[in-house]
This record gives sequence, C-alpha cells and structure tokens, in this order.
Amino acid sequence: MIRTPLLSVTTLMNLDVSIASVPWQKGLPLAIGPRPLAAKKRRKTLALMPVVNGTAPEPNMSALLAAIGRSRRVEDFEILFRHFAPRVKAYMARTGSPTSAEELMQETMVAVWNKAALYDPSKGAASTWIFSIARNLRIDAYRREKHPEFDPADPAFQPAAEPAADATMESEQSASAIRAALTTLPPDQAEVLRLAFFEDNSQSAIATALNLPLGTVKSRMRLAFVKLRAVLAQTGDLT
Amino acid sequence: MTPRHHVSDDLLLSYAAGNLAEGWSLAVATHLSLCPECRNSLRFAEGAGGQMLESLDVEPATVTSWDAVRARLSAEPAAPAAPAPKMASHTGTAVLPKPLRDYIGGDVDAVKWQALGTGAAQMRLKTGDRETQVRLLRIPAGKPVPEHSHRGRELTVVLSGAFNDGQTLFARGDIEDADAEIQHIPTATLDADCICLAVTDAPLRFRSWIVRALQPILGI
Repeated sequence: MIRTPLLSVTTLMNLDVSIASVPWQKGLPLAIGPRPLAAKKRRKTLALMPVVNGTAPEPNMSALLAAIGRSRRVEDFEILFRHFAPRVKAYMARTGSPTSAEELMQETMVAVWNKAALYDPSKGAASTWIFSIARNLRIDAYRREKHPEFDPADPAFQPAAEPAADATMESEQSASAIRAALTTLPPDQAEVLRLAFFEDNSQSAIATALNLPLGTVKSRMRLAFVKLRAVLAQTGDLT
Repeated sequence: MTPRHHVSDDLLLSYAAGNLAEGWSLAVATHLSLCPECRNSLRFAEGAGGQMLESLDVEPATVTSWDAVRARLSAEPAAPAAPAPKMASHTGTAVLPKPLRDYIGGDVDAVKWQALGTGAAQMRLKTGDRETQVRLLRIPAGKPVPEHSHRGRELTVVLSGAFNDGQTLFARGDIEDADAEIQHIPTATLDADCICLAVTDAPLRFRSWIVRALQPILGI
C-alpha cells in the first residue's frame, strides 16, 4: 500500500487547529468541490480527510474521535454521533427489539463520549473501537455475560518484545484494507462472518442455521481469517 | 518468552464477534494477556467487526436520539484522565493475568484450592454462561491430570510451570485446544507444579471407573 502522509499521532497531538473549525463540521454530507480555505489550513484539513478510492472525502472518524478525547467538544461529537449512532442502533436491532436497540445505542454513544480520552488511534480505527464497546454492552444486556478482556496495565501483561512494525500505522488505512479484504471473501465465508458478528450466533448455532457440520463453520471462519491476513500482509500492514 | 501455542483463528473471530460464551472468552482473554502475537491478530478480527458496522445500511439518526444523548453528556461524569504512558509501569508482579484475577479475587495466593484426591487441586470459577465449566487446576510436578476425555472442546491455558501432552510441551501462556476425539494425558513437568486454567463444555468423563464413581463427590 502506498502510505500517504496522513497525520501521525504525534502530529495530531500538536495540531492546534481546532477540528471544529474545518468546514465539514456543518457541511454533512460533504461537498466534493474545492473549499475556500487558506492554503495552510487547507493542507491540514485534507490530511484529516483521506480520499478512499476517489469517492467523496469523509471526515476521518478516527482523527475526530481522538480529537474529541482531548477537546471534549460536543459539536465534534455530534458529527461522530450522526455517523455511528444509526449503525450502532442497527447492530443492536439485529438481536433485540427496536426499543432496546435505541436504549443500547444511546448507552454505547454515551460510553464513547465518556471514554474518548482512552481511544488510541494507533490501535485501530474509530469504527473498531466503537464496535467493541457496542459488542460488550450487547453481551451484557442480552446474555447477562461478561466479555473478559486483557488489560495493558496488568503487571502480568506480556508486552510485545519490540513495538510492532505497524504500531504507528494509520488506522484508517488499515481499516480500508480490511474493508477491501472483506469484499473479496467468497459468499459462504462472508455469510458465516455476518452471522457471527451481527446475529450473535455461536459456532454451533451457525452450524444449525446453515445445516452444516460444526467443522465446516470453523473452517470457513479460519479461511476468512487467512484471507483477511493475506490481503493485509500484501498491504504491509501486518507482518 | 512469548507463547508458542496460540488461539485458533475461528476461536479468535468468535471472541471478537462477541458470541463466545464467557468461559471460553476467559481462556482467550487470559492467553491474550500473555501473547502479543494473538493481540495483533485480534486487532484485525475486531477491525472486521468495525468495518461490518460501517457497512450496515441505516436510516439517519433522529433528532430525538441526539437530544437524548446530548442531555446525558452534561449529566455524565467527566472523562477519565488520559491513560498513563503506553509502557505501563510493570512494577508489580502477578502470576495470574488480570482477566483471571477478576474471577478469583486475587492472585495465586488468593486461590481457594480444593483437593482432588489425586494429588491435584482445583478451584471452580463461576461465570454467567451455562455451557462451560471453568476451573483453575494445580497438578503436582511430574503428575498427570487424571486421564480423561470430554464430549466437546477443552481449552487449557498454562499459567505457571508446564505440562507435556504426548510430545508437545505447553508452558506459560500456551493454550491447548483439544476436542472430543483426543484421549490425552497432560502431565506436569518434573521441575514444578503446573497451574492452568481449564475450560470445558461438558462435565469431564473419566475413563477409570473409580474416578468416574468419585466424580460427583470430587466435583470434577
């Protein structure tokens, strides 16, 4: 993958131009045409809006979320909300009633606001981080179970021997590589992933739903993962 | 040293998707605490979840939704301070990773061991799911886990010491993923007692009729 010089985390930290001052804040959906901006400001603005496959630029949600963590600007959060809230609600609605989906969506988005300072864009895209928050709330609400997770501050935690080569990779680049990889999956593998991620089906429930042996479900998941890895390895994001 | 035996991809995907029962998830999270390689894989599995979230067809958010959330933003407590620098202070030491300590209420010294009669000991851990049985096991140095097979999956994560299963050595952080076909005899290495987390999805079925008869009494 060609690594476009997007903002590194450090640059982002030092970026004193308020995100709120860029024009796309009020201009959703985004205009495609040139923006009347001073050249200096314009460069920074563009850096926040990587163009994916020539489509209209979208605000970089990962940069936006990281900025919210620092600035606590409700106006910025509203942009993030308008993008993610409907998606989170649709996700919740897959396994629950519309009322509970709305409640859980609100729960998720309030948690996103409260925890925004903990978001680290080098660890993954905003969509990944928000997905994991929504997932944990869904497990808690619908199954009354916990989702045990590792804690990097744990004294027993085994850190990587050296920082991963991709520690500073651009989360949005990685995200688009994953998106591309997902579109190349054969339909049977994509179906298994969809059932696992959205319908909250265990492997054996998927096997029953598709009338397949459990081993076939497992191997489809593994094949999907291999494919995901292969595409990412090609882009140099995973070594 | 980092683990050599890892979580399988299908298990990691199920964990990322959030449809793995709590007991299995605890084994995965325990391994992840000790395995940088699998944590890297997890990022991509969760990334797939994030991208699928992005790709959902949706109706725009309603004004009511935003107003409701916005009202709660001011009412909620302020965000916690930014996290400590990335290299967290690893000043303390712990044998058991945090996901496990949360279930035990402390580290190894807090474990309430229950003798198994075979020289081994266990502590059962309670989870919110009904499909798994979760136990911390202590196997004396050089001794086998009572010979057993099981109806479904069995995940074992080594936390201290090591065991051999056939020709394969499992040491701290390693996870063994055994299915019903495997009739195996994990044996602790001679140098130290082995402490491991064992998650099964069905009560164990011991071959020896004596142990089987004692199973209800021993609680294994």
